[in-house]
Amino acid sequence: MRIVDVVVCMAGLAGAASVDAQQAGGRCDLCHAELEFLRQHTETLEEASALLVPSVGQRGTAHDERGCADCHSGYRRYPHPGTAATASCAECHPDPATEWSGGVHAVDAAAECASCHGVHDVASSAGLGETPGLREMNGACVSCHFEPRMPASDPHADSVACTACHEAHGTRSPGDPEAGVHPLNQHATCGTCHDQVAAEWERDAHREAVNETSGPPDGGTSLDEFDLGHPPAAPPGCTACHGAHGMPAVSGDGAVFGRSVVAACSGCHEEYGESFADSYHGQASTLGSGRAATCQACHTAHSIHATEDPRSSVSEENLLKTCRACHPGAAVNFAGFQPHADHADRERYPHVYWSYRFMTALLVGVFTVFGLHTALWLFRVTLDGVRLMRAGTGTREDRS
Amino acid sequence: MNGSRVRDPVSLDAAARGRGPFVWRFNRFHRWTHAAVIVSFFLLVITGLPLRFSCAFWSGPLMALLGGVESAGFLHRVGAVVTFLYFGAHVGYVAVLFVRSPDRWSLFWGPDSMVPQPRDVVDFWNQIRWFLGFGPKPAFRRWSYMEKFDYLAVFWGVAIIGGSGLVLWFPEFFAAFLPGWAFNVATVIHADEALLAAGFIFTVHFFNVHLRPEKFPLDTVIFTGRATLEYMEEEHPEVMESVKENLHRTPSLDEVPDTPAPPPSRWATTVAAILGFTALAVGIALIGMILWAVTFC
Repeated sequence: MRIVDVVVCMAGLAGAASVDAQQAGGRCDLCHAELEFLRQHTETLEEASALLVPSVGQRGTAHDERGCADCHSGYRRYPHPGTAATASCAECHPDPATEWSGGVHAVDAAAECASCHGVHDVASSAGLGETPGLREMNGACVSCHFEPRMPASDPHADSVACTACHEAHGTRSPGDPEAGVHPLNQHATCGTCHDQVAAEWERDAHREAVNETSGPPDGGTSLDEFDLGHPPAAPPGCTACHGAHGMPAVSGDGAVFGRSVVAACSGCHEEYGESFADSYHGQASTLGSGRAATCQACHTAHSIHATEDPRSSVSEENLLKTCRACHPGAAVNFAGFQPHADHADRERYPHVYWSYRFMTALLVGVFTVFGLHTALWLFRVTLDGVRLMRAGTGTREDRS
Repeated sequence: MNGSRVRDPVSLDAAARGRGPFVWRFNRFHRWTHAAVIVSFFLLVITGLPLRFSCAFWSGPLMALLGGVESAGFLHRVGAVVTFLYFGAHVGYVAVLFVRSPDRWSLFWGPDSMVPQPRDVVDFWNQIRWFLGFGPKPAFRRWSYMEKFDYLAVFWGVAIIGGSGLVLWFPEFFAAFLPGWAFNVATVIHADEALLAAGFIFTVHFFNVHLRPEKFPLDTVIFTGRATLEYMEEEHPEVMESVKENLHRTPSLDEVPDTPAPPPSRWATTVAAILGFTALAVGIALIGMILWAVTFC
């Protein structure tokens, strides 16, 4: 601060009971940018801090073109008269304000304009197109919502704003049927960017389940929270399989993505998850193979249909073609492999059932016979050894 | 010990204990074949086990140690190729012996044959009687019924595990003439028969040849090819006639069965001990891992 400003300010305040701010040249910053000065004229440090506007006069905010008086009217005189008032944001921004009043942040005024936008350093939404601006905005959300985190491994981290999925002003909680992230609405919300996937998914069996759902079901924000009971409490939306915050990238490590898919599908299709885990595909993918098939490799990602449906990738007509995606030279019988065989199901998988039975009997038989053989041998030699020791001898020659 | 008797320090190696001289039991072909069996078997078990028990806590770290699933799969196939090679070599060896031997049918019947015979049933029966204290320890011929079982188990194992393994290795090819469920059945058989093989070798075979008190902790006869006279007397009394006929000969490196041999070199003894103890330790560790997985997964 230049010395002359201080002199002017001090003179103004000290010299007159009423000073037209014009005398200070309309320079609010002469007082409100100086904590030391404000502290001398207030009772507490907190009071002084609240009056401090360090960014006054700085440039680079969305309100660059605005002067202090545009929001703070009636403060031109000092001491500021009682009629002085600060305008609400809604006076200039009526639409966001209306949206806000219908959202979850308006309940008990949990978060107001300034909570996210800041006060004097109000950010420009133009900055959202770039990572620093995005980070700043997402940082505003995270300042209250520590959890769920958005890990850097999520493909959306640093490239998509929280508000791309969650309403910016009329933010709704995920369980609200009107929320963009509610399972019923996810296809539209995610489809804003992933329009092709959304179009594909329009013909998926899971989408049909969504269409059939009536009434407001409970939603969830992540796989863990998503209630996938029997029958599911909510239809599967995008996050049912992909997860929400921290979803693995489809293009990333195939093993990580594959395992997440298996975990997601197994949440509802439990018995298929178990039989898959017992198969070579399941064992290899569990142990980190990115090449071994996981659910979507055979069933497709977004065009899943029941096996009986001719559109299904695993229908009789399409199965061999599907196998050949990974096993190009597969001969005709190849598709007769039962990737979800259950050795306990004699009706559906008699060959597996009986071979498993036979092998189990063989193992139990062999280990019983030779286990006894070994135990008896040990018993005999130990007994003989004890006798020899009692007799006070122990050389090989003495044993006969 | 009564202390009045002075004794040589007892060798760790069962094959080197007791009165000498050393006598030939296995030739270099036997020994190298068995070495190939050991190496390929461990390679196959270590690379296959984590897949079989992918649910176990140790399978992930073991896979990582092997360089991942793809790398383990490659090593597993290397083990398979070695197995098929030694198997083929052994069949060839038997064929050559058959053609060259003047007494060729003795390979397939008689006291020196590997083929199970009525005598083995008698031996087994007498062994059980001995276990229970109803008779003396039976005198075995050149190959006890346990050794014959181990030997023939390799044939059975290579055929069953190797065959099902080939089906699973080349499913696209085999689908031309096998039904689709054959791949499911091959998976079950391959996994369980392999579990049987590993479980049997690392418990029963290890006990019979190394860990039973008479031999504890190691018997290197399969590595050095020779054992003491006293060892032969105890383990295979029925070959002693042939051994005694040859005792007058000077020890030689010709590896003729039942003839005197020079003691194994320090180098051979060391290598045999390292290989033997390593195999025992790894095998027993694998048994622990299998037991954990079978119990808790």
